Amino acid sequence: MTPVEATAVTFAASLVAGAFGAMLGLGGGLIVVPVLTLAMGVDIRHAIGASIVSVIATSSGAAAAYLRDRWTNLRVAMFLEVGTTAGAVSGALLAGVVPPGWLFSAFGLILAASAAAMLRRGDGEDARTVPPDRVADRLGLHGTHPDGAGGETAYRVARPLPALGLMYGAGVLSGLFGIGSGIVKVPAMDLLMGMPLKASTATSNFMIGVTAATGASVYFFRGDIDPFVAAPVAAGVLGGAAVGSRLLARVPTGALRVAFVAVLAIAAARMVWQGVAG
Amino acid sequence: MSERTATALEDVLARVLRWGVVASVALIAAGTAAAFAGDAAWGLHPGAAAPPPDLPGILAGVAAMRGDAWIRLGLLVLIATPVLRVAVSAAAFAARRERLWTAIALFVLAVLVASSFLGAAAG
Repeated sequence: MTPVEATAVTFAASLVAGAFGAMLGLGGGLIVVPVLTLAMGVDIRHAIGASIVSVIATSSGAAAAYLRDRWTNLRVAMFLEVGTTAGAVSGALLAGVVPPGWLFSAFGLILAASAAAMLRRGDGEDARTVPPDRVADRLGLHGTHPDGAGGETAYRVARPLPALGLMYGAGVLSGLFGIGSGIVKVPAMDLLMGMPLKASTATSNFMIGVTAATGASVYFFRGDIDPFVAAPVAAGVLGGAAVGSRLLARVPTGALRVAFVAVLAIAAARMVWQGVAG
Repeated sequence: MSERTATALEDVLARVLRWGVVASVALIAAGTAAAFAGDAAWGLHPGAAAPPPDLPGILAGVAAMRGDAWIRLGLLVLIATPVLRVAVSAAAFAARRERLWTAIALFVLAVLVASSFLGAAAG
């Protein structure tokens, strides 16, 4: 493969990763890393470096549109970032201390359980009742999202403190293993806080950039981010995220839920496998 | 009233993110074009023995119109954009006298900055 071809293929794959990542609230690393390592022959270290760039690009590229269209719950995002950033630093400090094998398996099982719960919840979500929550009231976390007909739908948020604890755990895992934590953020908002799915993916999208940026400068100055690999990834993902963020309003929530659960199940299986295989 | 201020903050942050993304893409695209046009050691070169980058080296490379340095600067702008977004949120909450939310944003910013120094010291 010539350099021009390799750059073009990486760019195209990153466009797809950015579009799906933007809609699902994920960083796109699940697409970018296998494409780079398996199809391009990039080593895992530089693939992970490119994946971190992909997470930040998805987040910043989609968040501008989600903020403008009022999909993002800004206060929920800022509140939960307290947990993810503190967790990410703890995780970085813990790296090498904790045996990763069984942690991977445990995390995989949690993801599998979340996948099952998210699928069970089905799609009558706008009609569901969210229990009253004094902390959420005090913090003013309740939000609105576009209803697709030019108006807004109000929703309530519950259990912010348990969610904050979960975000700390998600941050620890990002710091330890460098994995995207969108896969934990979306189920936490969907299942625990009772937020509508599209508001959850948009808000996750907004947060993952900050989680990834927590460690990104370390990777950058260590030389793990190869400019010639990261350039087509960043440009492609930014373009894809711009398109994906405009599609969110039109995608049926049920289809989005099935797609997210599928990705969640794949990630869960991979983690359990990695934990068992070492 | 809080409804209106929250609305405005979203547009301020959207603008910060958009400018960060546009600046970063422009630098990366210019760097890619320069590297392809020149005879730079272009390509996907896994695990190349290039030394880790440092800021003075990148800036010197940018001045010398080296494509890889332009790309690296674009990537640094991309990495800095979420950090800048948190800093602008803190300033905006402070300007609105929302003390709890200013504190929350400042905490996140402090952790972000501290982790960069931690990493720089460890790496």
